[in-house]
Amino acid sequence: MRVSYHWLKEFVDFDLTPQDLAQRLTLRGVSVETVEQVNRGLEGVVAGRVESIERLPESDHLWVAQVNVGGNTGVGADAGESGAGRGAKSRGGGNLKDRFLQIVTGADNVRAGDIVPVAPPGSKLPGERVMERAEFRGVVSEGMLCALTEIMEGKGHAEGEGILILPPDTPVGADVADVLGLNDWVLELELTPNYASHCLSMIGVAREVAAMVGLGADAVRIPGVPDAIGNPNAGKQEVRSLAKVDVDDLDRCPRYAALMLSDVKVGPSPLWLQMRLLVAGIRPHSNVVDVTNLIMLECGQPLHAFDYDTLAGYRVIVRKAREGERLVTLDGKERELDPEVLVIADQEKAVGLAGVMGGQNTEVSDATKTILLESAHFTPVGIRRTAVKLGLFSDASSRFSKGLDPNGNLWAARRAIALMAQIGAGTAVPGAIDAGVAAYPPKRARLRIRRMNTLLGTRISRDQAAGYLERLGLRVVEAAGGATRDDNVLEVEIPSRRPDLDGEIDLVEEVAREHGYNRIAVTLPSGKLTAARRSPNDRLTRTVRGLLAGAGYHEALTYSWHHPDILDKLGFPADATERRQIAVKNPMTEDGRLLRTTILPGLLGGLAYNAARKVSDVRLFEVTRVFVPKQVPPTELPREPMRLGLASMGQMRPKTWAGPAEETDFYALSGAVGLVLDGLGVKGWRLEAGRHPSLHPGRTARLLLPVIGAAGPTGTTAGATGTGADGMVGMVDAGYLGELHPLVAERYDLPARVYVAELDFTAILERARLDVRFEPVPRHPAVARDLAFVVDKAVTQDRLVDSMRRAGGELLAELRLFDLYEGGAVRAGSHSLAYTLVYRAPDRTLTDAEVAEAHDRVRAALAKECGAELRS
Amino acid sequence: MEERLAALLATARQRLAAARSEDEVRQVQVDLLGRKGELTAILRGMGALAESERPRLGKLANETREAVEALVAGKQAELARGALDRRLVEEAIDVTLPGKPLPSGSLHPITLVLEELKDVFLGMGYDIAEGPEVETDWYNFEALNIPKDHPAREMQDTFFITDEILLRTHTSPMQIRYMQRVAPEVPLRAVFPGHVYRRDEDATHSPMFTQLEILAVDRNISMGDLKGTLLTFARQLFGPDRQIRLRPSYFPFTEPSAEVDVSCIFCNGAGCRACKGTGWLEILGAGMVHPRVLATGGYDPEKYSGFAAGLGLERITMLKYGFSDMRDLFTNDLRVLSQFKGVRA
Repeated sequence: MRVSYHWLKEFVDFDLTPQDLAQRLTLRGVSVETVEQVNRGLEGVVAGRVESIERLPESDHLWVAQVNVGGNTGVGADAGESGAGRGAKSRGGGNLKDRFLQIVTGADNVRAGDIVPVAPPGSKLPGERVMERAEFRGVVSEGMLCALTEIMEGKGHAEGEGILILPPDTPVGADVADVLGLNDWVLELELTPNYASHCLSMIGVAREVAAMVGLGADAVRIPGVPDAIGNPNAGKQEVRSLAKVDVDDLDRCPRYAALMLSDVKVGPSPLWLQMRLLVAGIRPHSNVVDVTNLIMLECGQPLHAFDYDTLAGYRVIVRKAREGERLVTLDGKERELDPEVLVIADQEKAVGLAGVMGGQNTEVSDATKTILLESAHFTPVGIRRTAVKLGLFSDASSRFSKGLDPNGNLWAARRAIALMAQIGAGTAVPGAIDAGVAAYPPKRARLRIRRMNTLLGTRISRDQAAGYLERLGLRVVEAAGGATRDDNVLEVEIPSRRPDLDGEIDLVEEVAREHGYNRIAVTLPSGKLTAARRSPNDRLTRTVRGLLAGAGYHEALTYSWHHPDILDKLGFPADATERRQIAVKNPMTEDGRLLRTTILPGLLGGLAYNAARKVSDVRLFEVTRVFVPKQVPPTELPREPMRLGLASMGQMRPKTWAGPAEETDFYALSGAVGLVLDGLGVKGWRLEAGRHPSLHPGRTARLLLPVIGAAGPTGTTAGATGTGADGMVGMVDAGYLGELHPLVAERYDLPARVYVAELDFTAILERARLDVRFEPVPRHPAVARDLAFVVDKAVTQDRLVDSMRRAGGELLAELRLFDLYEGGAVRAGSHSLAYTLVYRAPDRTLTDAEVAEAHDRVRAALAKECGAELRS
Repeated sequence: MEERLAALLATARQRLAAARSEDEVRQVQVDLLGRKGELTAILRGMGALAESERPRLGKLANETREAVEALVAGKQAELARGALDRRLVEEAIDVTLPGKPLPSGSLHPITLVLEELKDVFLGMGYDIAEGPEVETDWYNFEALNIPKDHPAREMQDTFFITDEILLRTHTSPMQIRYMQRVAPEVPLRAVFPGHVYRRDEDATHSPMFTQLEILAVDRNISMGDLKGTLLTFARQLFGPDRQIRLRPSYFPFTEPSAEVDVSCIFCNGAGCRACKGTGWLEILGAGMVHPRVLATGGYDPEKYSGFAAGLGLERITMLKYGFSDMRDLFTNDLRVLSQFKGVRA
């Protein structure tokens, strides 16, 4: 809603600058987004009388006009100083010396004798446009004649727009900005839906201002309507004999008023009316339509004018549309309707979408002789449904769907007909049809003062609260049944123009608004003290973030959705469970169509974004959710398990003076996974070779975690089978890590070696150690022995370590691989490994013999169980 | 004999003073005190002495040996110190060469702000809880006093999954879920962080963003308490000089409702570009929990009241760190992320 500062002053007195007004309205919830001057840079443009106009020689579209701009406009030598102020002083220019300018124009709506806006050299148009002398085909043009668009926005003529013809009584030389009322400000309101009913109108805003400055709602000047016009109780009731209104659906259209205007002369509106609309952001159309728009701005009630002679049977029927019924609306679109849509119809056909938009078949045209003016009250829900269903959001539908004053329709129609008659658009037909239910009685609500003060933290008295409500135009009434005045309770009557107010809590808010939120004292909740702690998961998640950030990973933030093609890109087979996904019905683009079941798309997207910008060394991590539906499409909410993702490419460490660069590799990734798991104190985890459709088949591991609380197959973890894919008893799958499949890397335009992990973070957290038990430091010395052997590469580390641990028993305290090589003397398919084994007993110093015996057991086990060929 | 011992000590002094190396010192030691050294030779002459002289001269000989040994040790220490000093000089390095790099990553700025907010509210006794991002229409709208066809639904353009399931448009459904979990226990104090989704995208809107919902329910909770709580929060987050301002607004699930502004963190209220000259920055929406919402949550609105607030973390993050385009928070551009290295939550 765009509110003109000057127009507002016609309704209510206040002494505030536009800026102060805006700020104070904002502070009472009538949010003013911007305050702007209507005059967007027009300076020195004056009214001039066209004395003569003729074709420019040898031109088929240019004219040359001689224009009298009055003597005091400062054009010519001192053009630069000509300004709005001096132009304004030249009003009543009869006694001023005439001054003539020769101006070339392309418009052909100008006739000798017209008063038009003239921009002489040195004058300014919006957009910093300064006029200069010009020459067309050798003819000097001292400025320009202006169209309205040029005056308002500085842009060129709108399509088909002619030069603005000013009223004939406009004084020559007058400043056009004054003539057009441009020295005004517009307050652009950004209203919450609850304020639509009372602030989407000048009168409504004026009531807010009246309350704000303490005058009270009654101080608002409501334009009067002559008693004779549209009076449903007056003696003459021609309207009722000329037309008939039937409302079939009183729930959706409780009230319908129809008034008429005869001897209609459709034409342009007077300039002041056009300017009002323009300032409010509505393009003028014709006198009849302009008045309906103006009155809607004035009081909020949408109106619609029908060409009476196009209404079959001169009847208006408010009914549900028929299945498949069609209507071409005023925007030129044909719409197919169904019974959920309420239409305005005549005896034969639909003529409008109730409360949304009129139909072309009954539109007012230049030929219109008689008008039937509709002013109805439609209830919000139906209008909103129709607008949403047809995707048709008009000024009217937006207002009706937020709720309007149900009793405001008749007055609005009368006011409109009176104004139409006043501006010479036609003659009011006596009488009115006022169909539908009787006027709505005011609602009542009780306000308990103590309750109000408790909620607000204030000490507002009963009288103070009553004063606040009354200045908003609410009425404080005596309690029902003549009960004695209760100091703790107000009985309040709510006028129908405030459908947003209903119960006590609404009154509390109105009192708070009037009192001022800024006057509510600052306190803190005084109840019981509560001690809050982070949940274990919250603390553990924070630990993980810290560990990974410390290890060089950057935390990412990725979208929960992805494009439908992404799982193909990632190589998931058609029957992958990840393909059971939740689809968004109305994504903004296809990139937001499917909710992720894997976090790879987001992290790979992050890597790709960086790679495309030549940022090649990137490590990302994210802890976030995926969405696993129970059915597709879902009938209940999906599971939202937490995942930990890692993604890494390029160098871990750059080449420096101190050493060569270190490229990221699988073991850097598994090291990071180990950092997280060990950092959380997860025991018994292991990696084994695995397969994942997006990963290199030879460089993929799955993470196995022990089943919680049981060694057997009955784990407590959701989804745990208790057995890994190839029979790892007592372990559950908890995600994958590995090198990105080269084909996938290629599809993402990523370099060859990219490493990613996606881990079941919930399962990891469930196994985190929450408490530490101190263990005494070993007191007895340890003995270290190295061991080197050659073994077939097919024998995994896991098997070797298992073998050594079993053989070494309790005495084998630590074990560390310190060397690994292949090639050279080592035969193909094998590699040479070297370990340091540390032996220790908690209760004694081991003898050489004990160590030797244990070490020999380990050697024997390696040879026997793993086929190792011992080299030391 | 006495003279010979005195001469030996003098020789020792003289030769050791002149010695330049460990070897020379060792040679002095061998020459004077060794098995074939001078002292041995002198002692061999003991037999020629009178019986009565022997103890005295024996003692003198021992003292001379000890004196020489002390001189040798002193000289050795002196030489060692000199050697060490030379080595330390030789070992000097350029301490301004770059250190060996250790990896350093970063936390996302949204995380940094969220963790800070959590700490602020934990300090005020608020628990932290999270809820589903895919939500039912009932929890997201109806239970929050926004029935179907309510115009307020237009305030939050929604991503729908089915007619009844959607991506939550705010963290407010957690008000209901949490109240239902703990009602009628009081005091209830909790914050609910999480992702929310709205069909909106430009420099200051992202279709996915992060909110923190704040909820307190108790007997006699007032709007003054809401103001005090938000003021405390604003000062902890933005500095002790901050002021807040509440403007009436509208959310169907709170009444009275307010938009909350904080005095501009850039110009301190004087008016600048960031605050469009108003001196205030809008940071969150808040209000008193609507009686119908309290009742739906399981609290009798005649006995209990509460306040709720919801703030967008992206907006706070942008203000706090000076981002001008929200989309920069979602690209995962390392040149953005690495600026937060070393900032810890």
